Amino acid sequence: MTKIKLRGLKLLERGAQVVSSNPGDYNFLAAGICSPLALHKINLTFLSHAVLDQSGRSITAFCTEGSAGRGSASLVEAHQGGTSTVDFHGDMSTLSVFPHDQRPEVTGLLLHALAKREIALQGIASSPSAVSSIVSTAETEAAIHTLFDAFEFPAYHSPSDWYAAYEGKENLLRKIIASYQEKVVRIYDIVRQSELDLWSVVIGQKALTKLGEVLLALGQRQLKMPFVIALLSSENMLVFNFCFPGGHESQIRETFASHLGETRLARHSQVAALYIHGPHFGDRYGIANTLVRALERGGVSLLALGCTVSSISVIIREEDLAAAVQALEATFQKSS
Amino acid sequence: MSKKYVLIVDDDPDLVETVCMMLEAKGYEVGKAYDGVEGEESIKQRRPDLLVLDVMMPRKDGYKLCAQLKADSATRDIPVILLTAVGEAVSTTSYTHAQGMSTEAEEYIPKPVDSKTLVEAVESFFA
Repeated sequence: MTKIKLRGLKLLERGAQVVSSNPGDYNFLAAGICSPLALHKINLTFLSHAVLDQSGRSITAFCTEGSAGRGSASLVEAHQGGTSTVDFHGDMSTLSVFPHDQRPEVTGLLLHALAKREIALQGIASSPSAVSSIVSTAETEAAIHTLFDAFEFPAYHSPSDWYAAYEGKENLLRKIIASYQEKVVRIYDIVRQSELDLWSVVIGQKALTKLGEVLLALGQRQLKMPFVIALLSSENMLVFNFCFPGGHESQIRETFASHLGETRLARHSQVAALYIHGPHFGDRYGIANTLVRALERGGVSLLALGCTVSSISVIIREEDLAAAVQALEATFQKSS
Repeated sequence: MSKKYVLIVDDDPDLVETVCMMLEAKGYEVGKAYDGVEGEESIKQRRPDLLVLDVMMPRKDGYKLCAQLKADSATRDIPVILLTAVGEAVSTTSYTHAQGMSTEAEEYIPKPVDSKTLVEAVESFFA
């Protein structure tokens, strides 16, 4: 398989992951997850959320620093009051590669590479430039080696080069950011992308290679993929959500069928994506809560959300786009 | 007239995309690098007309790179705009404003960088 040339690789080690399967009766993401965590000043280094069906049932997966993991899981459990399941996974790492330039083949090759070494994927989310994957810290070194097999990083000739550059830097960065909070969160811009379809598929770990091949094939057809998330369900299956431009339904269904056979593929048409990005979003608490509460006030329902590196991406119905932008502009201070 | 070439060096890939879009919209050609060492190598391969440089980066931070460029007669004249999220809000840091100004950068802009401010700063060097 031909290597894809990227520019960078980021690692956040020794975090913890919490996965919550939520009931459909109210906005659990805001009230049961983001708000309690923000109140306790817990920073989310990763967040993904997918609505599973029309009743509003959903899954949310988030990562925190390792020391905050168990406490975060307990907070979510306390707020859900037994109405959903909460799974805790300690010692997880987030690996991000960039830039993906909306190329589905970047995610495809990532999945293929991880599956080749039988590295269990615990989650995925994209930002406007990066794709982040969650793996256990025990498998991180193997994951980095396999990424160097799949991708070319011109700045680093080998995993050892890369490790030499990144050793210890994360601690330095954390020390500086601890006291950096704002009354009104400042962002660079609210970027919007409309006329999209949101696709979802549920697969097991063993099907990741095939799914990787699907995304590689769609990349060869020049389709752009501005958004992707994957979350582990309580049945240990991976729930993937992707966005592709509208108008390519038959092409996408054919490609999935030819590689994955009779897999149930759901499509939500006429959706839009919104991205917000601000300085050191990944190092500060409360940003995701501010966003989900703003959308709630605006009467906008989320279909999917991904938060990684320093951006938050949300997928909503296209008919809600104007209301969503208005809600976000009323809440965040835009610099441009 | 050929486009002016601006090199952005920042380890936040989402920010690099944001600043790139801001400057390309104003007619600049934009190069990207994701840490100080990559930035240094990029400058050796192609001299930028202006450098937009993040402060906190792995391998070589912005202050070190800026000081290094200003100490070299071959690169001393490249204008440098330092971008930093480390402003008055941060109480403890080794990346101080005073340290930044001592690097002889031409401009020091806090994040989130206002597109109008950044574009005006960039254009002021080419006026």
